[in-house]
Amino acid sequence: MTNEDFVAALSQQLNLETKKTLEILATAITIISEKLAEGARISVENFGILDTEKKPEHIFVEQESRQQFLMPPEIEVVFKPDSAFIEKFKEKTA
Amino acid sequence: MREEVNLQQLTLLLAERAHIPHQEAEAFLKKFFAAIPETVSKEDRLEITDFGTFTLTRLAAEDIAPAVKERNNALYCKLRFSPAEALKNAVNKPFSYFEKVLLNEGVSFEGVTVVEEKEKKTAEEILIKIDRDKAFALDSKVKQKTKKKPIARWIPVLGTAAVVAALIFFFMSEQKKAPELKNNPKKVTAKATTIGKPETDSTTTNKSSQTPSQLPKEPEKIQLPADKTLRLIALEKFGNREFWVYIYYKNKKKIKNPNIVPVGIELIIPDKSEYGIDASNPQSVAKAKALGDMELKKFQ
Repeated sequence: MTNEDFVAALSQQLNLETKKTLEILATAITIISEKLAEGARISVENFGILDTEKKPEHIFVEQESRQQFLMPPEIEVVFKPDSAFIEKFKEKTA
Repeated sequence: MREEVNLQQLTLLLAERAHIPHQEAEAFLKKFFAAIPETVSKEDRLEITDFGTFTLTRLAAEDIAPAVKERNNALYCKLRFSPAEALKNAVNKPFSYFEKVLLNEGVSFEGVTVVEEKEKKTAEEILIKIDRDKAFALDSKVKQKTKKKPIARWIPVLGTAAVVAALIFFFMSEQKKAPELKNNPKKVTAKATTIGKPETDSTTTNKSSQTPSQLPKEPEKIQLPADKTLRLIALEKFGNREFWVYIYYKNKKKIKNPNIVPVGIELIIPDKSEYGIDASNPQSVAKAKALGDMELKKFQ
């Protein structure tokens, strides 16, 4: 599902205009990004945890050329679904 | 202690930023987070701009790693969240000015892990087992976090034990050789003649009978004088100031901040070959400069 379809579905469920839904969604995502950038962990019941993990600097070896690169540290965003998310997921998938 | 943000705090922030009532913000966020699993389970893929993409891959039991494979009709799904570029950039802002640096052959850094391209970790995947009779989840992670077999857990321990045993054996045999040489002056003389200095003292140790090439190369050590910096020492020893970073790497355990190096500290001068130091090679100088800049930015 594309972002447009997702926004349209949310608009319908919330009885909001698509434009308004887009604005609120963009604001919500900005808040989530800012909080993750500050190093916070976002924990939402029935959804899971959005967290960051620091990957230290490392030497990366390209498979074909065998060239080595010193890679800078990197922060990765990880999502860990909680049991309610998985249960809901199974109900819909089964 | 890391800050933990929950739905209530997100609601307060959203209501404030989007200028909407608290109830509306709460309803929106609840619907948003509930819609994600619902949509992904139906559509297999959900892309949310500037946030990320949830992807679902359906697998048959045969496709699962042997560690979790079971002979049943269960359906397995792999769920993956790939953050969007905007989100990656936002969280990586502190490292945005870093770039990858091409290294010369044979260059290695202490404590820096080497990752082969084929081993490179992709986004974390969650394996979910859907059993139509008795629904239960299996949170094992495919590939990266597959539960190790009991024997696999012992491999690193056994490997370390084997290395330690080999070292002990080596030193024991070296110690045995020393008294042998003491008791056999002929052997000592024979070795001594190879370096052109006949040995007369029968108590000469095995070490002194070795040729210079056999002796382990002692790293050069200096004490930092009051009027010197790492840059000046690099200029003196390697012919260019930019190579200071390798003196720092070699003495990283002692130097907490390369900008503040205490006078009188004993510094080990690395061998040029260890880091590919070559003042006449512009690439070597440029690489050292890039590494130096990278290290200094950590202390700004």
